[in-house]
Parts: sequence; C-alpha cells; structure tokens
Amino acid sequence: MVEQHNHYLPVLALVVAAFGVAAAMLGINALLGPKRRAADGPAVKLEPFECGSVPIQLDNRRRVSVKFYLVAILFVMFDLEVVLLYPWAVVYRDLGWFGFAELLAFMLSVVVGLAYAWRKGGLEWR
Amino acid sequence: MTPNDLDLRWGLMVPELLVLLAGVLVLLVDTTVKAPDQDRRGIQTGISTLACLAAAGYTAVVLGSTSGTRTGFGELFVVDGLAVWFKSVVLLSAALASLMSERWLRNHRLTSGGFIALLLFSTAGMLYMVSAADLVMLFLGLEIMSIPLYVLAASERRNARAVEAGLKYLVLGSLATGFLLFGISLLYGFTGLMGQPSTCIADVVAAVLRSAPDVPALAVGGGILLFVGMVFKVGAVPFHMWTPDVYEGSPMSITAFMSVAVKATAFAAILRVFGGSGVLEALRLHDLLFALCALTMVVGNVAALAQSSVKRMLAWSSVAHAGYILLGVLAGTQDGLAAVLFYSLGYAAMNIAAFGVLVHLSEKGHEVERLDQLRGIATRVPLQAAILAVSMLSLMGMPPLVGFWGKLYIFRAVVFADFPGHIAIAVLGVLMSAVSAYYYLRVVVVSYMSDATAPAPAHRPSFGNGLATATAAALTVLIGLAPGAFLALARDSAESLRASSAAVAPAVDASTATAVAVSPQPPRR
Amino acid sequence: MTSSAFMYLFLAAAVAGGVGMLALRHPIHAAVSLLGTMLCLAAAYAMLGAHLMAVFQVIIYAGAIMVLVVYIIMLLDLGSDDARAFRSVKVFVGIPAATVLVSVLARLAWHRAAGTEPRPGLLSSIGDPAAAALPEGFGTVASIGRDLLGRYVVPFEVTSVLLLAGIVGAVYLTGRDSAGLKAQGNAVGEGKGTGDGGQAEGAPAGGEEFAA
Repeated sequence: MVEQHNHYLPVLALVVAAFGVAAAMLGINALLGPKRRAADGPAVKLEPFECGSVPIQLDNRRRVSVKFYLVAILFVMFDLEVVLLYPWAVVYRDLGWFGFAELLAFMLSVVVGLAYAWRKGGLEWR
Repeated sequence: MTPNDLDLRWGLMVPELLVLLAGVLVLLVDTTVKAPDQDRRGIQTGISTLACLAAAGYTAVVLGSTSGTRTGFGELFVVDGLAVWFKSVVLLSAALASLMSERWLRNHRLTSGGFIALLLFSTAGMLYMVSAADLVMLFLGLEIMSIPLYVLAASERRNARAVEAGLKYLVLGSLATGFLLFGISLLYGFTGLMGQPSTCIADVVAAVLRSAPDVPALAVGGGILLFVGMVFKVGAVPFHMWTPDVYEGSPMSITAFMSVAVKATAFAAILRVFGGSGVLEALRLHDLLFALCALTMVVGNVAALAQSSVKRMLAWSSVAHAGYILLGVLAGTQDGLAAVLFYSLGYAAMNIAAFGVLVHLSEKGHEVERLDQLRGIATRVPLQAAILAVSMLSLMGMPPLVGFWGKLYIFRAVVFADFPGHIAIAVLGVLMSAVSAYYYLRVVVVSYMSDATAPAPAHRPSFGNGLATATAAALTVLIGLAPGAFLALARDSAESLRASSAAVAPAVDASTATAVAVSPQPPRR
Repeated sequence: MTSSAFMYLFLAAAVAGGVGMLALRHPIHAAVSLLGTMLCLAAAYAMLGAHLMAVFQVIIYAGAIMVLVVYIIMLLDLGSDDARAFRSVKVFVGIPAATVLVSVLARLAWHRAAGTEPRPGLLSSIGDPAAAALPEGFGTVASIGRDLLGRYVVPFEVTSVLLLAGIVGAVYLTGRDSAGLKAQGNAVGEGKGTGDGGQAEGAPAGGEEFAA
C-alpha cells in the first residue's frame, strides 16, 4: 500500500527546516534573553509600550472590512480554476490539440466571469 | 483519448448549451449595452424566455421525436424519455419564471443582469442533472442548480427575511449536498466500481441488484444518504425545515421556480437512480420511503392549515404535494412512474399560475402575501381572481382540472401496487387531500365573498407576468380537459426507464447465475 | 518500514489536530489546528499515492478554504466566549457519529489483524475481487488528468459553469450588480420618495453597508 516516496524527501526537509528555524528563533530568545518576573518588578512592565505616551486603545483587535468578502470569494473561485489546470498541464502532450480545445472552453467560461466581475467593479476597492 | 472515443453528440446537448449561451449573453448585455434599466430588464428577460422556450421546443420536438435511450459524451450524458419529459417541464417553468421576474425586479428597482443569468445557470444545472448518466454528473448538476438559487433566494439584500432565506437554504442545502456526496462515495466504494472503466448509474444499480438481498451495509448506508440528499431538494418531511422560510423570503418568481423546477429535477434524479424495479427494496429504502410519504402528507397539509400568509401556505402545500408525488415513486409500478411524471407537469402549471396572480397583485412595498390582502379581489381584478381560484381548486384536486387527474393517477397506482399497507397509505393520501380543501378553499372564499378593506394600490400590469400567468392557467385547464393524451405521453416517457433497467436485467441474471455457480463462499475483497 | 512510521505519525497528528480544533476555545487557535489536520492529511494522501489529492488538499483546503475561515473569524470578531454556544451540538451529534465510525473502523482493523473476512453483507464489497483491484497508476496526476480531460471531460467543462455561477453570484450578492454606488444612491432616494413600508430600515444604510 505505502509506496516508496523518496521524491517527497525534499518537502520533508523543507518542513523540518521551516519548523526548525521558527523553533530556534523562539528557543534561543527564551534561552539567552534576560528574564525578570513581572511580579518582582514594577507593574509598568505589563502595560503596552506606545512611544512613551499613554496608550489610547488597549484592545487592538478590530473587525475586518466586509469589502474583503468579494476578494476572498473571487480568490477561491480562481484558485479552484488554476488548480484544475494542473492535471491538464501534466498530460497536455498526450492530449494534443483536442485537449487544448477542452482547456480553452473551460477557460473561456471562467474568463467570462472575470470580465463580468471586472466590468461590474468587483475588482475595485469601494 | 480522441473526440471520436468520447462520442460527442452535440445534438443531444443543444438545450443545455442554448441556456448557457443565453446566460452569457445576458451578462454581456448587462456589461455592454447602455440603456435605461427598464429596457435592459425587458431585453434580458426576453432573451431568457426565448432561449428557454427554444430549448423546450427543441427538447420536445427534436429530442422527443425519437424514442429510446441515447447516450453520448463518454456515456455520461443520457437523453431518454425521462430526460425529455423533465427537461420540458424545467424549461417551461424557467421561461415562465423569467417572464414573472421582470415584474418583481421592476417593483424592487433592481437591475436584472445577475438575477436572470443566475436563473439561467440554475436551469442549465437542472438540465444536466436530469440528463446525468453518472453520479458525478448528477452531483455537478445538483450544485449548479443549487448555488445560483442560494444567491437568488437572498436577492432582496436589504430585507432580513430574504437574507435568512438565503442563509438557511445555503447551510441546510450544503448539509444535504454533503450527505449526497458521502452517499455517492460509499456506493462507489462498496460496490467495487472505483477504478472500473465504467461507473455509470446503471452500473451502480446493477451491482447493487446483483448482490441483493445481501447488499453490504455500508452500500445500503450510501444509498440512504444519496436518497436523503435528493429528498431534501424535494422538501419531504423530515427534510423540509427550510421550505417555509426559504419560500417565504425569496422573490415570488424564484419561489415559484424553486417549488416547481427544483422539485421536478429532484424527482427525475430519484427516478433515475431508484426508479428501476427492485432498487428500493435492495437498498432497504422501501419502508423508509413509506414513512416519509405518510409524514410528508400529514405534516404538509396540517401545517398549511395554520398559515395566514398565502406564500407560506403555498410553501407548506408544496411539501404536501411532494408527499403525493413520492407516493408514485413508492408504488414503483409503471403506472406509478407515469403518474409522477404527469403530476410534476401538472403541479408546475397550477403552482406557477397561483404565484403569477400574487405577483400581479403585488406592488413595491405592498407585497401581497397575507390572506386578508386578497379580500375582494374578485371585484377589483376579476380575471386574476378567477385564475387564482382555478389554480387553488386544481391544487385541491377538483375535477376536471389537472390536479384532480394527477392525484387520481397517483392514488390509483398505489392502490394497484403490491406492497404491505398500500391501501392504508392511499386512504391516508385521500384523507389528507380532503383536509387540504380547507386551506385552498379559504383563499377562494376570501377573494370572492368578502369586501376589500384597504384601498387597492394603483396597478401597473406587466405584460410578461400576465402572459406567464395566462399560459400556466391555460395549461392547468387544458391538461385537465385532455388528461389521457398527456398520461399516454408520460407513460411512454417512463417506459424508457423500464427499458434501461430491463437492459440491465439480463446482465444481472447472467451474473447472478455465475455467482451462484462459482461461490457458495462470500465474495472476497 | 520508515514510511509506515511516517504514515502513522501524520495520521496521529491529523487526529490530534482534529481534537485540538474541538477542544481549543479561541476560534483562531481552532482554525490553526484545523490547518494542521489538513496538511497532515495531505501528507497521508501523498504517501498513499494520491498525489493530485495531496496537491488539492494543500492548495484548496489549506490555501483557499482556510483563507475564508480565517477571514470570517476576523470579520465576525469572534472571541473565546463565542465557542460555548455550540458545545451541546457537539456532544449530541458528534459523539454518536464518532462512535459509529470508530466502531466500524475498529471492526475492520480487528478482522485485518486476525486475518479473517468480515461477515458478508456488512463490510465486504460487492463483486469479484479482480474487479475491485485498482488499475496500475490509479490516482496519479497523469492518470487523473487523462480521465479528467478524456472520459470525464463533460463534468470538467461543466465545472467551469459552476465557477462562473459562483463568480456571478458573489458579484450579485455584494450589490455590485446594481450598477454601483450611483444607482444605490438612486435607490435610496426612490425609497424615501415612495415611503416604502416593509424594508425602509436597511435602505438608508445601504451606502455604509460596504464602507465599514
């Protein structure tokens, strides 16, 4: 069932490296950085630091604009479209012109959608 | 693979392509033609109506002229009597719904480009679903049908009820789609068809029948999930929770379209997968369907009694009618299947007529939904009141209107069918349609026998809506006057279903024979 | 041997991610946990030879769907407290469903370990074993590509219609269809003029709706 997949080794190496770098950054900081418990020092350590002035707003979470909604949906749509090109790209030499025509037909209808979204101002920030 | 292997018979797909092209054309008009909204609405609804009518004509005349089953496009796409019948119903409803939409859009001062295009895409999805010879096509058709409808249900973005309708439909619809998809994967997995050269519905059905009565439990589970996914679209109890809210919050023309075309499509799919003889029993769905039918008829009719909103009443009545139609599937006989086809057409005609009158009476900010808004319309708009009365009487089952014949054929098929409790459920159906007389007649009584309380808003009649209403009403009466001809047509169309399952049957016999010869042992993985 | 060790590692991590998603209170933490599950599943797919599934899993689920999930969490500004509402649903629906699934899988695993066949009719597949075997190269990108653009070309093309409908629907739903802000202004004006009853609340706010 489980095949030989040495060709995935670079991916694994990349994952290990990525996690390793992140872990190293946090770990070395924790290891080498000065540590002083807040309870011992002045309470000011727990306050947010804002260039010496009194902080205006402690909770800086804010709702994201709903304008991103259309961007997000359009991204998902075109992402799906692009992903479906991948199997075509792998076999397009075998398929020849017929496969090319199939892909053109597929793209055409998605391009109509793009043109419509564009003309309707779906790509503008407003 | 070359085009020749694929068997690209473009002639079979003309209706779908016409509708899709019309959808793209509507989008083009929307983005390029500079004209007042009023004119653009006219152009776009015109394009939509003409395309749907042309496609319906092509389906009925060209595709319907030769009987027999034709497949194409890698055997994934099938055109047979069943497909021709339901495509005609869907396209007719789409044409009438686009005619009705013009009025609604004008009332709400909305542009029509996206609305009409989505309506057309949804129609195309229905056509693909009706013609699906493969579960993958069926799933895609269902999605293309549903996703535009989720959006259309929420067309009136500023209205909380419309947003609720869209959201509810989206969430529950996605859940049902999930069931359907999971069912498909279980069926493929446990019928051993994955990776086979042919994975058509007929192959799945044959594999199930071959192993009956010892169908693997998870294949049975898959069949049930698939069935639930489809029954959700029909709106049968207990998968009806969305129906009243969605039908109430959607634009009137879309409600009419949903209640008619989505139902017809779902029934086509149910017949395509579960309509062959013995499939329901092999997947142990028969008792489930029996309970579903009884519940649907009772809950739909009883809940409709309590409604004061006509739109909501019609929503519950559509649940009840789904129950009657499901009875035909339950009967499973040739007569039962023909009755399902007949009823789908008849229900389309009478329900669209009813909604057409409501659209006619509605003005901007003065949507006619409550029962008391219908007071005294007989003196104000006699023609519309008459059409409303005809459609209500037909929905109730008054002879000689189409609703009567539909119910008659359904109940007759059930009575002559052969399963335990068939008489009981037929009696229940008749009783329930007697109950329905109360709420249908109430509409007629209110519109004819009481005086108007509020002054009527000024009317600006719409040519399109008038035409749609008149057509639907005419069909309600005409089919009622000549039911025999339409029943014969329905019978011929349903014949193809039996023919295709008969084509499977010899193969089943042969394979069971070999299975018996080879193995007293259980089949191994 | 190492590869099946990796397989178990990824699958265990996927389960851990799923558990984490349910157990963590903060929606963003749950989302990150879900992301971990998706990536581990992608790895498992790749190890089973379903390379295209692995790619789809990463690009569509871990990419596109996660973007939507995180965006919605940020849009609704959900905090840890909002998770509580769903607790009972989890218990009443989730636990029975999980029990059924786990018991079926355990049964299969037990039969496999004991070398016996499951009772016919319960978990066995229909048809002869030769037919159930998968053809050579099943699930590779090339074979799926050939199927997708060969036998299944109609579904492939029809998918583009689904994408088109999705795009048009999104544009329509955000109100870009109503010819932009100018027309929206008109609609507001008209609404005031005729004094429409039922839905006046939303109308004046129309302009701000997307400007927040």
